[in-house]
Amino acid sequence: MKFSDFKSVEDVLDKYPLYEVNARFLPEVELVPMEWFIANIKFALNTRASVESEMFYREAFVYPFMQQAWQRHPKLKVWVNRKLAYKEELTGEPDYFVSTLPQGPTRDPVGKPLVAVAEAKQEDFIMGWGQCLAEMIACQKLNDNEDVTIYGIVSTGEFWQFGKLEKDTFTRELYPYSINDAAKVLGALDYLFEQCEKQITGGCHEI
Amino acid sequence: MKFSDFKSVEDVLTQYPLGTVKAQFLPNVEFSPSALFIEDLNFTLSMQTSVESEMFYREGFIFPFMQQVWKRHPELKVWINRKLAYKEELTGEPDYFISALPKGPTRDPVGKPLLAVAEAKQEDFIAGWGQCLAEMIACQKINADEHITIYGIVSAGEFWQFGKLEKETFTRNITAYTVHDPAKLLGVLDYLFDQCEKQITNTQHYE
Repeated sequence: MKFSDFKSVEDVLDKYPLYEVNARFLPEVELVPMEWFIANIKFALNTRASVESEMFYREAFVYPFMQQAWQRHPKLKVWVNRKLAYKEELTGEPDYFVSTLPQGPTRDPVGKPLVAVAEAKQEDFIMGWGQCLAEMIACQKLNDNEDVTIYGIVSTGEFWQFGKLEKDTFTRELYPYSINDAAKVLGALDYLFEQCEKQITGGCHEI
Repeated sequence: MKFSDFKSVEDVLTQYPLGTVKAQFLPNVEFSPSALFIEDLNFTLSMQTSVESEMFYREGFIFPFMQQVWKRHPELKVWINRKLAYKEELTGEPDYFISALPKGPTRDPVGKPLLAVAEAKQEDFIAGWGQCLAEMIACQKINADEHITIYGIVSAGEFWQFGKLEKETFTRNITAYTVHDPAKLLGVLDYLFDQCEKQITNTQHYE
C-alpha cells in the first residue's frame, strides 16, 4: 500500500492497531535564529499570494526551518523525496525522512536507523498525519528494533505539529507551533534532531 | 500541448520557428553573499550524496539562490509550481516563473507582464531547455507585447544555464555557472532580476 493511500490516522489504525495518546512531550525550548534567517522568512511571508502551491511552502518555510536545525546535528542525514519501502506492504516517497549519515563507502546509501519523517501538507493535517504515521510505521519495521523511537512532523509551512511512535504507542504533541514564533519552532525541531542523534549514538554503543 | 511534452529545443522549434543564437549576454558581475548563506550552501554540499532527488536540488540550492536575489527586487513575484496556460496551446506548471508583483486588490493574482521562467532538471539540460523554451513562448504570447524580453533559466542545482527570448530570437548564454562560484552565479541572477524589474517600470511608463 502506498503511504498516500492512508487518508487519516484512523485509516492507519485499521491496519496497524496502536495505542494513541495526546501528551506534551516537547520541552519549552527556544533556538533563536540569525537575523538573516528571519529576514528570509519575513520576505517569504510578505510576498506570499493567496494562491500558493505546496512547493512554495516547502521551499520558503519547511526546508529552511529543517535545515537550520539539521545543521546543528551533522551525524544525521535528511533525505528529500527519496523512496522508502517496507517490502510491498508500505511504500512511497516521504517528503523528508531522517537517518544516520552513512560513513565511508556503502552499498546502501541510506544509513540506519531511520529516526524521523516529515510530511508537508497544505492545510490538511488529517491527511498529513495519515501519511506520516504510515511512514513512521515503515521506518519502525525497517529498523527492526522496537527500542528506536520514530519522530513524525507534519507541516503546512506556517503551522507545525509533532508526534512520536514508541513501540506500539503513537503520541501526538499537544501543542502545535507557528512560524510566527520562529524560535519555538526551531527549538522543537532542534530538540527532535537531538533526540534522533542520541539514538544513533546509543544504538552504536549497544551493537 | 504540455510544456513537458517538449523534450528538446528542436521539439519546440518544429512548432514555433525561432532564430537561435549563442551569445554572451550576461555581464561579468559579482554579488557576494553573506557568510551565513555560504555556511548553508557548504552544509548542503557536504550532505549531498550520490542519490538525491530533484527536490533536494530545488530546496538545497535553487530556491535559496533565487531568493537571495529576489529580495533585492521586491517589485517582482516568483511563482512556484503555479499553472501557466496560453489557451489550450501551451499549458503546464513551470517550476518557477516571474511576474510583476500585483499591487492592491486584484482579480488575477498573477501580475503582468510575465518576465522569466526557471526549470529545475536533474542533469538533463536538453529536456530542461525544451520545457523552458516552451514556457518562455507561453509567457511571450500571454503578454501579447513583443517588446518584452523573457528570460529563461535551467538549473540542475549545481549547474545553471541562461537564455532569453526577444521577439523571434532565442539566445543561449555562452557561459554556464555553478554554485561553487556563488558570487558569480548570484551576480548574473541579480542582473537578470534587474532586467526584469526595469521592464516593468518601462511598460508602466508607456501605458
